[in-house]
Amino acid sequence: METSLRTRVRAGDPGAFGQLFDEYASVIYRHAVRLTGDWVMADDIVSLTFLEAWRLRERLLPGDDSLRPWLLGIATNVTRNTTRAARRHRTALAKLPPPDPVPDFAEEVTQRLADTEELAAAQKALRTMRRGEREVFTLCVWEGLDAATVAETLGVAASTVRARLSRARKRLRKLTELELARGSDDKRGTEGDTRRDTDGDTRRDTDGGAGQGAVQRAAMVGQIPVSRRQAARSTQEKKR
Amino acid sequence: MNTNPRRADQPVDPQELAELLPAPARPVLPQDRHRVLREHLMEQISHEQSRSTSTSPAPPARRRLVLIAAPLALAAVVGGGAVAVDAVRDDGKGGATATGVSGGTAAEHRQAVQLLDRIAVVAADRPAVTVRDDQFVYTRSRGSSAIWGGPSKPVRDSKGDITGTRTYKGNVQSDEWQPVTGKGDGLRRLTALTPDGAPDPSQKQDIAMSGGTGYLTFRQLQALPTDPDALLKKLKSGNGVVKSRLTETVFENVGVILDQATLLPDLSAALYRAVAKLPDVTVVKNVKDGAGRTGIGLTYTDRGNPSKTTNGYWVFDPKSLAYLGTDRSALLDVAVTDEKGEVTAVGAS
Repeated sequence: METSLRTRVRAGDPGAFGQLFDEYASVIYRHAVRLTGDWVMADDIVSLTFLEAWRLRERLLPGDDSLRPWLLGIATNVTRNTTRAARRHRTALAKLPPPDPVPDFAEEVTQRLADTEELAAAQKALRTMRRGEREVFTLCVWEGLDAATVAETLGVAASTVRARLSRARKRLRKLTELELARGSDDKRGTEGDTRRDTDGDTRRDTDGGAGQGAVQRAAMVGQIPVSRRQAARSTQEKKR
Repeated sequence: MNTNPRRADQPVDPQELAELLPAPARPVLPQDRHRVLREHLMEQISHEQSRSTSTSPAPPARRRLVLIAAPLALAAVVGGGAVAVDAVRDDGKGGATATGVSGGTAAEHRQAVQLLDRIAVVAADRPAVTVRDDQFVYTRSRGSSAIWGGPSKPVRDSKGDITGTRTYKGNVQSDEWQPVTGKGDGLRRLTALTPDGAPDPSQKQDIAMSGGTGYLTFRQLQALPTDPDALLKKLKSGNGVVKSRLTETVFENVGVILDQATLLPDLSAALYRAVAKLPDVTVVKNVKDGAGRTGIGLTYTDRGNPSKTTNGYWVFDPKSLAYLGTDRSALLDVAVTDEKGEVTAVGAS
């Protein structure tokens, strides 16, 4: 089935794009939300990804492989340069009604608050990485693509993917160490104060709700007041 | 090294990374939004297909406007070229017959060169304008919604939820304001046209046009060389201008900027003179622009490869030789305004 879908996509069969959208829109949306931490932008990225897929369909290689890495690669490129993609498709995008900024149901609102908090915390950690590391990290770790696939998807060498993952790991370890150090010395934060307050509020809001895991994770990385510069320097100093 | 279990380029365990920074949240694309986005995609696809399949069965070869990229819809406007010959007939060179896209002879090309020269003379004669950085270049055009897009409205179901959009298809008027410097947003106002050509204010939509480097701003147009040879060189040297489609690409890229160039007499004249240096540009007579006005057409025909032949043309007024637009879109007005959304009486073209 996958074979024929890929073939039909390459041939520009509109029905195939409908099927493609049904199968992968949620995957792309999830990737985009997690990568950007921004719900509204993720909505645009989904649209742009499939518009770009349509535009680039003839460049798709033949074969039997799943189309998921291809779409995730497009989504990553679109995310990297949303403005350029948006410009290319701006007439199309202009016709898209904007998403509701706030979900309809209270339950969803609560869930989204918790998710947003969790996303913001993850963003802080992601932003300590360079863009390439961030892309490789999210695709390999969160989307579960293997290094070779990611390399092909992003058009870089497999060794580059591994090196970026390795650097991402160093940065994250450093963050964790900082977090531990800070945890034992809790009151001394300066630039961390605002964030801590925000976290505190959210913790109350989502208390006991479905966001339990979210809250814990937020606490884990959310209070680390690291600037990008600090993280980068520490990593280098630590180089063995 | 031996004590270090991993070197930098050795595989890193994703599991370990996932523990360091677990995937956050469980974002789910809401079902109604899935439906809206899907319908939007399918509409864009069928829209583009209807636009391209009418010309060729092959997958649409997207025009890449690299040196002078344009708003997407505009890019589609630019066809190839055939120059019609009403003026030539008026000129006493009568007897010219429409050559269509059958390919030009040397005589036909000479005819096109002569016509372009006259067009250039007329264009150079237009008044120059002074434009401030805070102003907008206003263009009013009419043509098919396939070119400009149509005003669209959200469609709601019985519960009032938006389930998609309905886009008007047919002839539209586009009023567009582009910032002179490219800073800040432009505006395109699409208004449906009734069968007798009157604007239908009940079907109208304003679209913000975000600025960017994808197309040339008015200030960038002003900076282009006004010597035809230098201009042609510049047009041919843009990044990504495809060598195998060089002439066609140049012709199309020029088409994209003719509208705004109307306000720059020296540039307009140089553009026409540069096009006259291209091979295979020919005249077709008795063509109609996107608003049904009859004129002389100029087209580009690649004799060696008909598949590269573009099937549109630029249209010029048979008497005044003013640029009227293309066969798919008519240019009704070009002017400078102080504000977006403001329609001045100062007309051009």
